[in-house]
Amino acid sequence: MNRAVCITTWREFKANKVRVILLTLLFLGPIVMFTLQRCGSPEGLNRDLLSHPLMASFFTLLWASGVIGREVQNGTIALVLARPITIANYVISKWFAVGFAASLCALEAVFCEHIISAVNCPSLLWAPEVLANGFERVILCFGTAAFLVLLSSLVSGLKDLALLAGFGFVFVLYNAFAHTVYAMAVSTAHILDSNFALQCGRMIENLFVAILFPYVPLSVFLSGNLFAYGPVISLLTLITCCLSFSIWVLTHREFSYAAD
Amino acid sequence: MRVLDEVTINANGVLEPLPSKGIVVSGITKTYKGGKVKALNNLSLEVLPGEALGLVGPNGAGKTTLLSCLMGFLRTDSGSILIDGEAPDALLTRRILGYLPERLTFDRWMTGRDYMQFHHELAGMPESTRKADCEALLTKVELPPSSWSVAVKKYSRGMLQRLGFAQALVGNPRYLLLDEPASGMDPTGVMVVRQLLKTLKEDGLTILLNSHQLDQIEKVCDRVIFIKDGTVSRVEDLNEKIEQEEHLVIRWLASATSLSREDFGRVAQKECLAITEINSDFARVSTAGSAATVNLIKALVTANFPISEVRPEDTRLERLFINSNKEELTA
Ligand SMILES: Nc1ncnc2c1ncn2[C@@H]1O[C@H](COP(=O)(O)OP(=O)(O)O)[C@@H](O)[C@H]1O
Ligand SMILES: [Mg+2]
Repeated sequence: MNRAVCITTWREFKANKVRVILLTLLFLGPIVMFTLQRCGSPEGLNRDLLSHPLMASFFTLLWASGVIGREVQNGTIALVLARPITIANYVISKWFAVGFAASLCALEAVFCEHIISAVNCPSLLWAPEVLANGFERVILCFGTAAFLVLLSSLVSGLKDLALLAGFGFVFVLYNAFAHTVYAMAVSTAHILDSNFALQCGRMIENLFVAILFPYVPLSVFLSGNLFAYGPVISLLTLITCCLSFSIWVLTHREFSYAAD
Repeated sequence: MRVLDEVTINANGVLEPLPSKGIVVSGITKTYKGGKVKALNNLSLEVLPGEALGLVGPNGAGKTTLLSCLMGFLRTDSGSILIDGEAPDALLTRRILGYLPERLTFDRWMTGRDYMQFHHELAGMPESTRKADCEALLTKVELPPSSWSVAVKKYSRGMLQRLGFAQALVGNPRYLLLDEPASGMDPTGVMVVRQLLKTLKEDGLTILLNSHQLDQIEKVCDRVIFIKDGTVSRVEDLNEKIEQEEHLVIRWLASATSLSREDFGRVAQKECLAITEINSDFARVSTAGSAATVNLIKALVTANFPISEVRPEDTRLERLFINSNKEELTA
């Protein structure tokens, strides 16, 4: 891991005002929408008012978009890689910088929500829920970061966001298609074939969720349930595959300084 | 452990850096767009350790492509490149190369000092000397200290060029690849670069200089390589003295003498190949070589001409460049 690459990634984020504003909104949003709203309601009196750990993915998205692509677009990546630093080291540093920063933001958010809960209901001050929620967020951040770093290494600039949107669009399109086929099949009684299409849709959906939201439910995991190892294994696989592929892509890329 | 290979232990048991082996490029070909554009065509050259080699050639000859291949940014289609015996993309090679790209790009939010410190850290230099090293380099390229803490986006073109040059020197490189170092610089900047190149050469750096400023190359480089259509068209040793036709401009103080321009023609005629132009206080002539030039000056002084200036009309490299273009036109 390279300290200079990490620190520069963080400082670059700080220098971009739009991102900082988005980050602030992302931070305040859940507090205003969930926590404060639930404060007055009866259910808020005896339950922690935390937002879902999946909120952490949005922090990761904000931190990771264009993390490598922008350097490719600017052309600054060539001079960085001209220094004695391996591409693997560079990619892992970028991944760590994004995962760490997003985790920190997500943890800070959950901490604020927790404080508000505790003010609302002092008996919640030592609730273990907040620890589990926080830890799940950290895992989620590093998992999502790996996938987003891969997307960012595939294209230049902020086109990784477009790639992500394209992904989602294709998925929605497929699902709609599968449902239509299913509805048609039910009416014509060819249920077996169409069921297959629907199953495929569900499989893609699961894959998509596993990649974008590698969520490991900590309480299930800690209870010793064997099924909880599934998400952990898929998380580790995701991180390894994404980072390796991203390193491969950058290794096979040329950084031209001559005329385009 | 490649890093340990950087040093050897000499007879007295003292660590010494390995002797530099220079850059050897053999028969490289590089195409763009899947083979449609041939930027380099079976190009071979050698940069000897400690020399300054100039690259000259028209736009689009492939000079920037060549430097990018040497830096490992581009992969060649065929042929090989060895830098101190290593491939361009080896980690060890990156430790000993300094590069100034033709088109500079920066993280625009960084200050000049940030940028230098970033590269200092990337180069794996010790933190204890970071601040001092960076400031020393910024001073070396004569970037005013008041701009060190200013964001790079507020720099002028020449200031960026100086910062880029300082960046190339980070990490005490053994080889310096410079792609048009003086482009966009003011006259002072051009002079700073020239002086800097001379000092660096005296310090033992091997320099590969791509520049359109022929006088800069002539003043700094030992050898010059002409590149055309992706191959070496000519190699010229600038240290080697050759006898060739010289074009001179001669000035004298007309007010301090009663001698006329006809007198000049009479005196100069014997030593000159041709007198292109004579005016009341200056003349343009060509001689057969430096021996003839010496005789001409002697004759003029003996005839009491108050000579104030004798200067070559064009440099050797300019003449070579012009001649190579002429040959091409007649061919
Ligand atoms: N990225 C690129 N894609 C396609 N052609 C290129 C690219 N870079 C350079 N070229 C072509 O390669 C040739 C050499 O370019 P270059 O190395 O920049 O020349 P020079 O630096 O000598 O002016 C030119 O014909 C140029 O058009
Ligand atoms: Mg060029």
